[in-house]
Amino acid sequence: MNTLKRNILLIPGLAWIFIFLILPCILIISLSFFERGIYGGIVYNFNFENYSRVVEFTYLKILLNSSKIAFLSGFFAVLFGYPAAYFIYKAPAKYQIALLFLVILPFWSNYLIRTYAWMVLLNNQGLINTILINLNIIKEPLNILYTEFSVIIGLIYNYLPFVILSIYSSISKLDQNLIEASKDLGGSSIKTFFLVTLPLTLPGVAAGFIFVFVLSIGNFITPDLLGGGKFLMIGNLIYDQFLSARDWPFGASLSFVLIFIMLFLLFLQAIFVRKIS
Amino acid sequence: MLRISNISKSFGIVKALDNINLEIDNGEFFSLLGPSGCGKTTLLRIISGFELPDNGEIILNEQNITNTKPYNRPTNLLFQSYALFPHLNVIQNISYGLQREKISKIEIDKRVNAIMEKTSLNGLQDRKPIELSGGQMQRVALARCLVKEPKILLLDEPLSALDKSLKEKMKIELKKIQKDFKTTFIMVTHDQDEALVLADKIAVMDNGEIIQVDSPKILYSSPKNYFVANFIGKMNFIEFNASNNETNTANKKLLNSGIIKDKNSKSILGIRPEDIYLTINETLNFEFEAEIIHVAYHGQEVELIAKSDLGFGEISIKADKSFHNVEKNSKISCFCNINSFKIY
Amino acid sequence: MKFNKLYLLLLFCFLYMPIVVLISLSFNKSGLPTVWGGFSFEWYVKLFQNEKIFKALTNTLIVATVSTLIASTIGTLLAVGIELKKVRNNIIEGTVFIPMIIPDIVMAISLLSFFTLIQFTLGLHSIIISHVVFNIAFVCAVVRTRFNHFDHSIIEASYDLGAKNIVTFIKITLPIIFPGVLAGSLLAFTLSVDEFIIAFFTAGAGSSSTTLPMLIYSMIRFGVTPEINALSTFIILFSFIILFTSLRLNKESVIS
Repeated sequence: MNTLKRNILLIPGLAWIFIFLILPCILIISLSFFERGIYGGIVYNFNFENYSRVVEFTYLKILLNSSKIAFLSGFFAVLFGYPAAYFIYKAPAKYQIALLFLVILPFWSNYLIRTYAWMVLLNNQGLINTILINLNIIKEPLNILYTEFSVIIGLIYNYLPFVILSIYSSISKLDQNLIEASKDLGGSSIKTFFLVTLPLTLPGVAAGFIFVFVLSIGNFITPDLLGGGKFLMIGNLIYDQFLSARDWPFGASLSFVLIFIMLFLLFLQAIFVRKIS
Repeated sequence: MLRISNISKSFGIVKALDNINLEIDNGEFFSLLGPSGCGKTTLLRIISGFELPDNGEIILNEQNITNTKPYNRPTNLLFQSYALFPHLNVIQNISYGLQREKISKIEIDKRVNAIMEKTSLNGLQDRKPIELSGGQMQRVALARCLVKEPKILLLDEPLSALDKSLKEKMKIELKKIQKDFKTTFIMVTHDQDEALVLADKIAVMDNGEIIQVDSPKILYSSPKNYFVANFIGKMNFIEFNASNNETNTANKKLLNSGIIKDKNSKSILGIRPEDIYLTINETLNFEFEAEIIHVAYHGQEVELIAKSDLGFGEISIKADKSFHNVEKNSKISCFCNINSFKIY
Repeated sequence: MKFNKLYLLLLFCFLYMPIVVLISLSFNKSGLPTVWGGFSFEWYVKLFQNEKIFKALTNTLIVATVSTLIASTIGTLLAVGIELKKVRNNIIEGTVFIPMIIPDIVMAISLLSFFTLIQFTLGLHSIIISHVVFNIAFVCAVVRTRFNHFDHSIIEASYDLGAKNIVTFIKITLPIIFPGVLAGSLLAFTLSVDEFIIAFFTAGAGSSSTTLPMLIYSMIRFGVTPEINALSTFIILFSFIILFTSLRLNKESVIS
């Protein structure tokens, strides 16, 4: 009934997304098969040059580096996030919502500002170094800022709240009967955790990890600000192609590779989820 | 009068309704009865205007309403989930339909108050649906429809969401309301007990077809075929199969008494449990033996599950309390009238 | 038990340390993170005198307001259209999902290329158009959560009682989904206010279409003045206020 009228509701939204996202993406993909002209324009001659360039050593290194950074960020986010989620879950019920709320609150401030705050904390005259020097742990300030390490910290900081929420959600959906059964059969608390709780909450963990990885690998702001403008990650590289290097086709091919990696990961996650259930 | 002519409807390859023809008189409490998937809900939705038939016509009081939109039809539908508007209170829910017509506010208030009185909803004016019990929600849904004074009220499984005691209460109330308002009620249900109690006439449906249309009394006493006999009330079935050696003595008995005419036939006999007696009286002209398999104690009644010597099939016999000590495997004599048997 | 509490304490230190440092820095007269020069509102005063910041703030608010209004309308209609269908259409689900997962840098450069190709002049309007894209997706997602416990037969009941399409939408559907529309709009507004990279690429040349995040970025990259701490504190507080407001309106939508 009223199928036509229902479809009219859909048209503005779908059309807008199609014209201003899908079409541009198709454009970018096709752009990746062309070349940069001498004066920075586009030469329309179809080839795979850009893609063979992408796998050249310099760029491949950046791709692998991005994956490494994204992986480490995801890994540590999950590693530190799991206990947090677990302890919140174990906290008295009346505090849990408040704790979760406090966890997600920082996320609600501006991304740039959050990242800037870490610049303040980590630079040579920053708080961390000042404290460490005053405590006589180190003599000279540590160069934390503008390294891969600071980028990873920044990424973890940004996505940790989501990981905690995802894992918490997974833990809270656990069937309590299973835990009690395990304890009933003689399992200690620790054993129960490793044999029952952890395996069953793995989907939430996996979801959290992939979430951080996917968002980290395409990230621009964090590696740009905390990494000091060096080309640490794909995002920086793409930015540069469109701004300074003016090689749009190459930037397009990089984008395509990035999208491809992301889709691949999401695909893996879908399979993983299906296997678990 | 509502005339349904040659209505057919398919959903893809599934034929939900196949050439349905029905006539429903004004003021009648009519029921569409059948198992799930028989097409009764589809037919209801076609009458109310939410589905368009592939073929056929719906004619109400000489007017063809087949293609009329639901908001223009003089019919109203009581949804299975009641479909009360969650953000409106009881009064607003009931007034909703009247506000769509060009009626003055004073008139609306008058009619709404009157109907709330009639459906025992006084005191609940400001409540929201979430604050109402199941029975109350149903009465609000009912009031919301009836206040519009429709020619036909369609009810989609009205009692299915209620618990047992509430069901019994609502059955009485629904019957009373229908008589009060004199509106034609068309009720869809899969519960034959509801249909028998409430309806003046029942259409039994199966697989998109109408099998039999009759009053409850006739449906019960003269079911047209095996399906109806099995669906309505409780019925014992005994298989008669001429080629089956096991039932040779049975065959002779049935043939001799004239119940089965053709000795080469394959048929199923049906007899209601209450038509089998354990003591003889002058109206009973047929006797057979049965061996007790199980005794089920139902409080003031006893149900004997037995194997008769008439053919294959367990039969259920109603007996009074004195039989509850009867032993398993004992043999009893059963008496009935030949005319009580239905043959399919 | 003790370890639990210690761990959570460390966690919250980690999460809030940057914010606390920033806020305290904004009141630090010296403007330097290492030297405490005394409590002062000096940087806030300087902030309010900074014209560039106010222009950027105005631009940001214009972009956010307009894109939210457009996206709320379109996104709500989209959500209603999707939810009222009985069958789930994977193409539509996918299309609405893409803006939420695509890396913002990819979306930014795609839009820039697209606008360049069709020779579309850039300015605040192109930022608005770009922000509407992802805002539609988010508004749609939030509004759809209001359909979770939605009994679809109330729509038919409304028709049955005499109301046609538009009346049913206004009197029945809209009031019920409204908290979601509001929460979605708030989310969209926040996302637009915070958004940097897409704005950066679609703003075009010229400082007249600079948004606040763009200004903050250039301040961070090219010249840090202590006003930025005051500005950051301000923005943090403002975002928290918006969060509290939207929570009060609809707990369910925000948490999901």
